[in-house]
Amino acid sequence: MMAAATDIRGAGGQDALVARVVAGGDLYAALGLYAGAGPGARAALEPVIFASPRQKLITAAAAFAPASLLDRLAADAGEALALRLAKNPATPTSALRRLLGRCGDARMARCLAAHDHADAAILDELASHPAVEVRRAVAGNPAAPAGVIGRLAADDDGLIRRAAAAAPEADAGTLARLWQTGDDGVRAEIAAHPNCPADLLAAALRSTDARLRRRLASNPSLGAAELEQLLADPDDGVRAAAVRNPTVSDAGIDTGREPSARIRRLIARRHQLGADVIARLAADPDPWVRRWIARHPDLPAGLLARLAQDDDPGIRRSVARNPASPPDLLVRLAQDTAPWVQAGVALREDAPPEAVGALLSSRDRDVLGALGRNPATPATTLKAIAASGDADVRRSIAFNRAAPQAAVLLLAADPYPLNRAMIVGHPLLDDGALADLLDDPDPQVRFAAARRLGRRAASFPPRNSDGKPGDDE
Amino acid sequence: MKILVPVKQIASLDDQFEMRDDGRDVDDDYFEKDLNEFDHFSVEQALLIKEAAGDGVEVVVAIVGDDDADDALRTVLAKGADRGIRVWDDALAGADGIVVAKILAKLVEREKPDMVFTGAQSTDFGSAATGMALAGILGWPHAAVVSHLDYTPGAPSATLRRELEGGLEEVMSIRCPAVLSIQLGINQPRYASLRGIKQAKQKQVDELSPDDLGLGEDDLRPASNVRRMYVPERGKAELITGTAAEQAARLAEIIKEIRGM
Repeated sequence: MMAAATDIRGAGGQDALVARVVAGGDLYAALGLYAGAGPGARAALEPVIFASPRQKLITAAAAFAPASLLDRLAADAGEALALRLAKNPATPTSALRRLLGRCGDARMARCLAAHDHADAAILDELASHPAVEVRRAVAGNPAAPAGVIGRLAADDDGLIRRAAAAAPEADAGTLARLWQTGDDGVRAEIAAHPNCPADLLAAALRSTDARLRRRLASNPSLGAAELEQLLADPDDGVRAAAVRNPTVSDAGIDTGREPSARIRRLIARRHQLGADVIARLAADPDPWVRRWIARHPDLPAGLLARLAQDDDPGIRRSVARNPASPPDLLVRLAQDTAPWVQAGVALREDAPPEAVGALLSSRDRDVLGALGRNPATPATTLKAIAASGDADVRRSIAFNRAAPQAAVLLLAADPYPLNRAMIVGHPLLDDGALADLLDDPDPQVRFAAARRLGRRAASFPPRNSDGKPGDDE
Repeated sequence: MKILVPVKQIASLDDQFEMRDDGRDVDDDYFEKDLNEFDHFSVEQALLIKEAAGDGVEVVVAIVGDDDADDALRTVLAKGADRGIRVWDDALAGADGIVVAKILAKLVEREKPDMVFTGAQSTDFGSAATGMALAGILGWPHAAVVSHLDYTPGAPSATLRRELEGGLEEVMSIRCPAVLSIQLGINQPRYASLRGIKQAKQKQVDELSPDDLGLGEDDLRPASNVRRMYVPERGKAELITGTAAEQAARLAEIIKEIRGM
């Protein structure tokens, strides 16, 4: 194992790694290496990947398979293989085009029509498909071009017309035609569309149908006057949508008269709030409003201290997570009776040593897991966390860039496969440990280890003339 | 003191699959092979008893399967089972639960375990027959869907709980030796450590044929045969979505289609 690990450094490193994976014959390690490999290495890896029909099927369905490999599989795919490729979100456009030519049934065509990589030409062809579910998938594909959407807007199917009204590329002309022929659902989609013509926006604003005004309130192209009117709408849902509208200004939001706790919660989540609004929300009778405002970065020290004494531990936790909380408050919250609040402090990289120190003896899994992620946690504690009896607590080490190598190596030998998969990306995991993971019983670990080793091998400069290896990553 | 734990390598289906040419099973290319989920629990139960009792308990795992089944067997050995037995002959390719039970009964004669723990059922065929048939052949007591077990190695009886219909639980004592079919959730199965996986490669696995166990051709003839396996034609159900008006329009279309209008 160690010999293989040192072999990846230097001019022939990648070749040695490929040779090892080819000799091992493992599909997942080969897939991990393939994406970053050169033409020669790919040619060597392909017989491993395509060793059996079963392995071809696995590769065709794998969202982590390299696009070029999926393209190759599409060249002579049978029905089962083709369907897997059509469903695979990683299948590239070129492969989808090949599959389009062999599109036997509506199921396959529907998968192609819904695919994120389907281009305008594919969608244009499938928009004329006789099966309604295929045309629905085309209309629902955000990549469908304006011309295709214009054609589908005349379809007899109501769901297609509604999807056309919501299509990002639908132009003003199409939306205007749909408004004339569509039902309430279609009109609601048009009211929310950024390309909605001004006269239709005005009509929606005057509508007595609250569902229509709700969708209108989410439209990012609305002017300030329209938004102001919608923020004062008698319907809760309309006001809530207006508050969520990314273009609404904070000046237009009046928390003093807002009767709905649901909407006040939405307001409390906004970043740009005036001091008076923040103060009012911090005293709100609804605990969820206080919970959200307790995380607000502009919350002054006095209100932070007051909310840190709230009866609701969720609110105290929010204070612990607020970057504006001063060190003395964090020290106090580290001694909170609720472990969930303590864990909020334990996650803070900027927590003062006194606060972290107060948490080191905790046995609570949330606190330990948070300490395990925190680069400010002492190395001895991190080593103890890596040896915890709780697999979820141990996994926190994988997310700690400052974890000592001893803790990282412990996690690389963890019995829980997910923990090994997560530690593969840790910067302190050395070549030897990564090479050991090429033989891991879990496929995703072998894939991730091979991919990381491949990238490392490619990053090493050629050996010097004196034979000394290049620098590490 | 010895516990025999028969395990099975099951085949799970991909979402898209094709049938074999003879139409009696799915093409092998579309199967994912794995250890039967229920067997993780039966093995764990044996290991818990072994660990509680110290070194005096041996856990022996047995599997009926070809070379591929070694993966499942090594998985169990990596968890901590002491040794394994794999029984195979090409004549067993169509073996049903009754034939497997006959083989296991011969293994019981050979190994003389104090208890046998099987999974409550296999996740591929779900017959739940093997444990019951084994107990029948041996003339041993049997309890199915065991969800809790109090058993001290060497004791003449064990106390257990069984899950029944309607959320009922049954507490019963059972004379030992016995065959127990272990239910999911009776314990929390462990993952094999990497060290355990390496050690498992060195553990003893006896490879036996039915002939080695004194079973002849007649004994291996399955009591049942699969005549045909197929995906039934889809029904006429359709989920009608959309607004009330769209749903009503679709309903009208369906009525017209059915009436041939």
